[in-house]
Amino acid sequence: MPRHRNLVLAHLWLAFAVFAVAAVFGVWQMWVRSPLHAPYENPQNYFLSVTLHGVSMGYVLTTFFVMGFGYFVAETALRQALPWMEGAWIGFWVAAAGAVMAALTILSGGASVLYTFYPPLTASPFFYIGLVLVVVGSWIWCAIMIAAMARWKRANPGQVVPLAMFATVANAIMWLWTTAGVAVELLFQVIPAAIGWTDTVDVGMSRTLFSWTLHAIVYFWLLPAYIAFYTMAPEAAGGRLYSDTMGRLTFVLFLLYSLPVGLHHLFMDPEHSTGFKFVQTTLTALVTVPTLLTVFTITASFEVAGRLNGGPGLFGWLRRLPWHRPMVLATGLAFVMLWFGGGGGLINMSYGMNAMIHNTSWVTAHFHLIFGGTVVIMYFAIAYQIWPQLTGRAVDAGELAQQRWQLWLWAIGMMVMTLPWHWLGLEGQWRRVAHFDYDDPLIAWWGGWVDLSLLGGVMLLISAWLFIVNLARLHARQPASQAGPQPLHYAVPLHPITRLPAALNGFALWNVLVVVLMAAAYGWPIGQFIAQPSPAAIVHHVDRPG
Amino acid sequence: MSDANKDEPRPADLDQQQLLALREVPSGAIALGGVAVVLLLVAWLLIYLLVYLPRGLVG
Amino acid sequence: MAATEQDVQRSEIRWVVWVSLFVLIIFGLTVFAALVLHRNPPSNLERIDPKTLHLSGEFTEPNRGTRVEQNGQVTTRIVATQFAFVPPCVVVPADREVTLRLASPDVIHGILVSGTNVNTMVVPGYVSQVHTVFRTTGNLLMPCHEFCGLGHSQMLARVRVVPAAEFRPDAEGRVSCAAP
Repeated sequence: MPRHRNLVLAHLWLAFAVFAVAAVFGVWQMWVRSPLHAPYENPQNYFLSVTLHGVSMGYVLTTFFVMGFGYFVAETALRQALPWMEGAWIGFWVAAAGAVMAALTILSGGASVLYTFYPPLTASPFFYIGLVLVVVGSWIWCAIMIAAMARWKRANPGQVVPLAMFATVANAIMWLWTTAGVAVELLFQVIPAAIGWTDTVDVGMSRTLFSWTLHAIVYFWLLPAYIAFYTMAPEAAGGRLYSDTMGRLTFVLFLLYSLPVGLHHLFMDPEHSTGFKFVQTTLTALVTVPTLLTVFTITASFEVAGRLNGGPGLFGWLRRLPWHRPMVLATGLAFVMLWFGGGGGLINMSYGMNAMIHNTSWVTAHFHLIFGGTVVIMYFAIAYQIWPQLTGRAVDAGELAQQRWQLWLWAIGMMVMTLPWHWLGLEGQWRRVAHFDYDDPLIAWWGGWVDLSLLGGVMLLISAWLFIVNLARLHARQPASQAGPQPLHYAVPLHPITRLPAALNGFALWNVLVVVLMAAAYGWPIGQFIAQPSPAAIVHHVDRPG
Repeated sequence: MSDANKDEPRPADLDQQQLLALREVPSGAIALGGVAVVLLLVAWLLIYLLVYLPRGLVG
Repeated sequence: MAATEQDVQRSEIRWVVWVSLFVLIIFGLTVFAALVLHRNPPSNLERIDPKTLHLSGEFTEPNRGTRVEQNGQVTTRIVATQFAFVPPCVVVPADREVTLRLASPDVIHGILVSGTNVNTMVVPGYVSQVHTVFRTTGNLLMPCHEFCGLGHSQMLARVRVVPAAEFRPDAEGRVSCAAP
């Protein structure tokens, strides 16, 4: 059992508890949007709910999961104590206090600005300060991850940093770069406006700074799922990781190309010209590469496992995989959802094609499928994989079956919810709407599809609560006759690593490249607001009456 | 990784029979991955030709 | 095939080359659509003061709606505000280039026109401009698609696409929904 199990459990339970509550709000929102009449249905409640759901799922579930899993990896992959335990707990409590502050402000009705909080709509300052505290807590985590790897390298000179930790630190470094955008937006524009020190705000600047964070943050959420793909799934499948070196390259490519692409969220915006929108389209095309690499490497790793188990022919190895193991099943389901979600993403990034779907339900469907589907199902799988280590209790066959049910229900529910949504978005259904007038003949036909989508949401809610139950059961005392959990092993590469360039064992070079890429991609898009100031918009406080 | 964790028990190196079974790797991955990627391209093209282009100019 | 790490890496690189080709095809078709088929994200960078746009200049009341300019260009000007488009209904001709111009005096809004590629954000401080040609006649929906406050769900405009014969500008070149 890792020494710091309580630290890991605190982070993960907070993440999952918030997730379970936010899921209820999500289903209620879908009910409100449908032709069926929902209780407490009004715009104030709806937009409060959308804000709470988005902040919970996008900022709290994710940040705390990444932190908790990171602490777990740092201790188990490096086999050393964390460099600064007190700091880790301080980070947890600061972030938790921030989350509570933001949640209470949202629940009071003073922050219905959605998780994207685009100025000049401005909420109570406590909403933003709460979010800043969550980020500050996570920065402490970043520092500890970087320090842990540095300390291990000093203690093990010339050795290869275990891939799981290399990837975790890549994510930590990427997060530091990522949060810079929103931090500047909040500290210099939004919080002063919220407090009342300024009464106008440069909206083009704030949207651009937020876009810096908005794309890269989804990779912050996604990298733990990829860490599981590379370092846990091949082991669970009974095989080897096809290539450790390409795994490292993948994480490096994410570090480089997650950041200078945020403008693709602003394709439809008037404050940027064609030139930089196009530059960032090109960079976005590059960020597809690490995912396409991963698809190959992990499929090949599973092929190794299947063939070692006697699988013949071009596809026969698929049947010889241990699909009864949750980590293996989740990886398969994740890859199916990745085809749909990634495909949708290709449409979104295709420059002019973005005009077909911007701010329609297609976008909502896309990120629920790729994040809520592909990524979160791996969060579940990771939890199921490491929980026995955290509680000291093995899982029996019946409990494994329940875990598999929960994963299937999640994947099917996600498809049922998001596929109709993609279709409706393509047909012009727009986003962030508290009420559709189904009497209008132009949109009446949407009703049935929205109801179907709602059914998917209900399936997800049941799955979400089943997940909580499955984890809670693992805290119950184990029967004396049952053996303790198997030790956790990270995946081993197919061929032992004999040589590794220093560039794939550290981040100095990559940090320099990040600076170069960001200067090229965002230098002028942000600089223009300083060089050629635009007329500012009047701050619009949503937390004040009238 | 095999050098990194000295106290972690090393898995047995693959024996001759196992290496023989792995002769085909990564043909299965290429096949499955290739099919998936080609289907993705086809899907993108269908949307490009049947939805995007018919919807007219924008700029 | 993957007997050594070198073989492994070679197979990975071969894979990357092939999938890069596929990404390049998508990229190429996208660029073709942009340069040759005139399908681009609206990117006309033009600033306007949100605080005064209702008082003077282009977006004052007489200019809003559809107007045929001296040079024959059809321009439709709309103000997006909490929580209505002004005017809430516009008439445009089919099969003729139309330029939509929008501005906001308050918060961020956005529009799409159903069944078309017309889509743009409306950001206070900027004029949004979209060129298009409407191919099919009929009534189209133009909702506000970006959250702009509690009344966002009700913010909706109509675009009436009429055949050329029915598109009759008055003496000042204006065409409005109220006209007979």
